[in-house]
Amino acid sequence: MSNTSIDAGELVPEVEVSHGLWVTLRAVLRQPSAIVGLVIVGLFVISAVFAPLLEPYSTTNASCGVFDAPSAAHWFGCDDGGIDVLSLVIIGGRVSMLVGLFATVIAMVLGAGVGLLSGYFGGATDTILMRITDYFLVIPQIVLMIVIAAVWGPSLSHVVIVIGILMWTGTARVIRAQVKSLRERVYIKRVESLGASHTRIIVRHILPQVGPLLVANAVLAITVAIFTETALAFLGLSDPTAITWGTIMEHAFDRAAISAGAWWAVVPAGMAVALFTVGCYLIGRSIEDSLNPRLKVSYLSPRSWAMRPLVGRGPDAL
Amino acid sequence: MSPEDGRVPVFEIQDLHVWFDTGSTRRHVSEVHIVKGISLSVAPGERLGLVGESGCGKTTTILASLGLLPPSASVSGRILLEGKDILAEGEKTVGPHRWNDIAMVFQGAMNAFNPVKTVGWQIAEALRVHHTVEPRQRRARVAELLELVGISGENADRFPHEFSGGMKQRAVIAMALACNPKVLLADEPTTALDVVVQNQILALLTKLSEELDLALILVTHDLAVVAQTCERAAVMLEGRIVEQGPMTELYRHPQHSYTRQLFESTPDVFAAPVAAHEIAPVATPLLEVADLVVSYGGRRSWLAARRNRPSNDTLAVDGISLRVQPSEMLALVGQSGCGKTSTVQAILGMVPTSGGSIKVAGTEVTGLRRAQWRPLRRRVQMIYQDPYESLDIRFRVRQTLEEPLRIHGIGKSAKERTRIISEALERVDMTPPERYLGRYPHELSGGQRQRVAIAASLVLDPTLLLADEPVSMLDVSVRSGVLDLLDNLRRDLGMGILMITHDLSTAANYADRIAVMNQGHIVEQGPAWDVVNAPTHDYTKTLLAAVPSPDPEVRRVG
Repeated sequence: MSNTSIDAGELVPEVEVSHGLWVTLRAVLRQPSAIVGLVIVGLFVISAVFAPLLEPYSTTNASCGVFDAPSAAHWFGCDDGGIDVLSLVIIGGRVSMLVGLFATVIAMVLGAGVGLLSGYFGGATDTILMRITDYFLVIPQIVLMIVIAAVWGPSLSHVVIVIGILMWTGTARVIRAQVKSLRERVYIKRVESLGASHTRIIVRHILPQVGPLLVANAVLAITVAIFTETALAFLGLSDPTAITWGTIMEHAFDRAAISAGAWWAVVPAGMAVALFTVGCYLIGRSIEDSLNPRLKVSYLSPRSWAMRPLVGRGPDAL
Repeated sequence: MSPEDGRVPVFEIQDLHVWFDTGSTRRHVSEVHIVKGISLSVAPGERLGLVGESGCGKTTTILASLGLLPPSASVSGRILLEGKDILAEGEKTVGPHRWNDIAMVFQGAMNAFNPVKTVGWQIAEALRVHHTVEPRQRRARVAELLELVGISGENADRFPHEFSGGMKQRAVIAMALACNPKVLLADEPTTALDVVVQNQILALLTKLSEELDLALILVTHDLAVVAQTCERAAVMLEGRIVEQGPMTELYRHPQHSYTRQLFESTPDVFAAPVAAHEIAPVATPLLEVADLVVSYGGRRSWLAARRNRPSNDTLAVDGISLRVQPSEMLALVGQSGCGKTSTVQAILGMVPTSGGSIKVAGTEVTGLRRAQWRPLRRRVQMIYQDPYESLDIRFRVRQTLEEPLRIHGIGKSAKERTRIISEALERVDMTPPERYLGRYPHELSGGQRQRVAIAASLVLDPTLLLADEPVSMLDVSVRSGVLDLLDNLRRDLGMGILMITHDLSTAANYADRIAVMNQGHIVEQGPAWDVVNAPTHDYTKTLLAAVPSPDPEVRRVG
C-alpha cells in the first residue's frame, strides 16, 4: 500500500499522455530531430535579433555592382541595386519572423478560444462555432488578400491579420477534439460536482492539459505563417517597402534577375524560408511525438524476449 | 510440488524469473525483477488458482509460459510441458506449442473482438493459422466449439455486438479451445462480468476442465472466485508464491499472514452481521428520492422538445424511491446497466431528470440551476469509482484538497486552510499529513488515492456522501480499509452514505439497508440482514445464488 513507484503488473509502462509543459519539454529534448530543429531556429532568431550587428553591408546603400556574382567579399552576391544579398536575407528574416509570430499568436488565441468553448460546452455552442470554423476553412487566402490589399492597401499589418484569421481553424479543431475527451474525464466531473465554475475548470484543469498540444500547434503554425507571408509578398500583396524574405524574391523577379542569370538574388531568401520552415517543423513534430509516446511502443518488433541462465540453485534443486 | 493426489503434471513451471528492462544504458543496468522464482504444476483435469493483487507478477508469469513477453523482458527457468522444457531455446521452442498445447483466455479479451467480422470467422482464425482442421471442416468445427461453451452453433454468423458480455466471454473461451489445448491459462476471466454471468463462466470452466481433461490455471485477484472453482491455489505476493496448497487448507488454516489478510478482506455475504444499529427516522432525511425517472438517449430535436412531443427514450431509472437518514449507510445494489449510476448522477444534478423529486436535506433539487446548486454542493459530496481517474494528475495532494475550499470560499487564510486540510487527511488515516501534502497522485497507491479523494470531499464538511463503487478498482487488501473508513465517517460524524455497488457481500457487511435495483426499478429494499438472509424477490434470490463465497465448502457454482 505504500509504494507504487514501479507498477510491476503492467507490461507496457503506462505513460500518461501530456501532463505539464516541463515533462513534455524533457521528452522533446531527448529526440535528436528536436535538437537539430532548435539549433536551426535558434540561429535564425539570433541572427534576426542581432541583425544590425551581423549584417556585413548596408541594406539601403549600394556596396557593389549590379547583380555581382557571389565572391569572398559578398558571399551571396548582389542584387539589381548593388546591395549585398546576405545583408538583405539577414534583415529580411526580422520582419518575416515577426509577421509569422504575430499571425501565429492571433491564430492560437482564436483557435484555442474557439476550440475550448466548442469542446467544453458542446451542444448548440459547438455546432455554431464549428460551422463558423468551416466557413473560415474554405476562404481562399490569396483571394481574400487581394481583396483586402485592393480595399485597404497593401501593408504588413493586413498580411498579419489575414494570415491569423485564416489559420486558426486547424488549431480550433484539434483543441476541440482534445477538450471533448477531457470533458468526459472523471476528475473533471469530480471538480464539477464540487461546485467549481466553468471558468475555473477550463483555466485550472483543461487549459494546462491542452497546453503542450497548443505549443506543438503554434510551432507548426509559424511555419505556415512565414510560408504564406512569403507567398503573399512574392505576389506583391504585402508592403513593398518592407524587406522580408518574400519581398526580396519578388523584387529580384521584378528586375528580371533570373533572365540575367543572377540566381543568387532569389535563391538565398528561398533557402532561408525553407531552412526555417524545416527547423520549426522538426520541433513541432517532436513535440507531437512526445505527446503521443504510444507511437513508439511496439510489440511487433522482430526482437524477442531473451533467455537467461538459471539463477541460484537451478531446477535440479527443486 | 506435484498435485496432491499424485497425478502426473502435464504442465510445470520451475523456478521462473522474469526481469524487465526499464531503460538500461551501456554503462548501467536498470531493470525490475518482477517474477522471482515461481514454481507451479497442474495435472490434466486439475484447476489451480493463482491469486494475487495487481502488480504481483501473476499475469507476467503466465505470459512468460506462453512466450508472449515484450522484447524488454528476459526470462530464466524452465517451463515443462509433458516433461519437456519448452523454454529451452526461447521463441523457437515455445512457438509450436502456443495455442496448440497451451492456450490462454486474455484479460478483457471479450472487448477485443473485431467488430466488423462475425464471431465464427474470428474463432476460425485460430484454425486457419494453426492448420488444425481441413478448410472444409472449419465451419463444422466452429459450430462444435460454440456448442462446447454453451452457445448454439447458428450464432457463428453473428457479429460481436449481437452477443451479450457473457456470450462474448464464452466465445473467447471457444477460441482458446480451438486447437484442443492440454493447458488453459485464464487471466481474470470474469473480472468485468456481473456476478450472475461470472457464476456461469466459472461453471463452464469447471465443466470444460473436467470433460476435456484440461489443466486450468485461473489467474485472479478474487479469492472467492478461486474458492468456488479450483482445488488448489497459489498465493502470490511481490513476485513470489508465499503459500500454495489445497483450497480448503488455505481457507481453514492459512499459514502466511498475507493469505490470512486476503481472506479477511474478502467479505462473505453469508457471514454478515445480524442487523446493524437501528436508525430512528427523522423528520427531514438527508436524502429523499421519490418516483425518480431518468431517461437517456433521446435524440430529440429542440423543436420536438419545445412542442412537448413524447420521446421514445429508454428509461434508465423508472420511478424509484429512496431515503437516507443521518448516520445511515444505504447500499444500492444491482448489475451493470441497472440504472444505479444514473440515479446517483441525477441526485448530484449531473444528468437531467424526467420526473419525480429529489430532496437534499429538505430542499428540492430537481430543476435547480447551476448557481442555485452551488451552496448545496457543500452538503452532498461524491466519491468516484476509479481513484486513478478522479484526481487531476498535475495537482499535489495539498492543491487537490485546497480546491474545494477555494471554490466555496472557506478558510480566510492559508494557515486556516492548511489546518482544515490536515484535519481531513488525518480523518482518512493519512498521518502525518505533512508527509502527503506535497505528493502527486502517481506517488500514492490506489488506496491512498481513494483516501485523498475522500478527504477532498470531507474538507467541505458534507452531510451526505454518494459513493459509486468506492472500492471496486482497489486491491482486495486495501478495500476493507476504505470501507471501514466510510463506516467510521457515518458513525463518528453522522454522515449519510449512499453507496452504489454490484457486490452484495460488501453491501451485506457494511450497509444498514440494501436496495436491490434491476432494470431501472428497485425490486427489494430493506435491512441488510433481511435482504441477504430472507430475500423476497426472485431477482434478489438469483443475485444471491451467484455470489461466490470465499469458503470452498460453500460451493454453489454449477
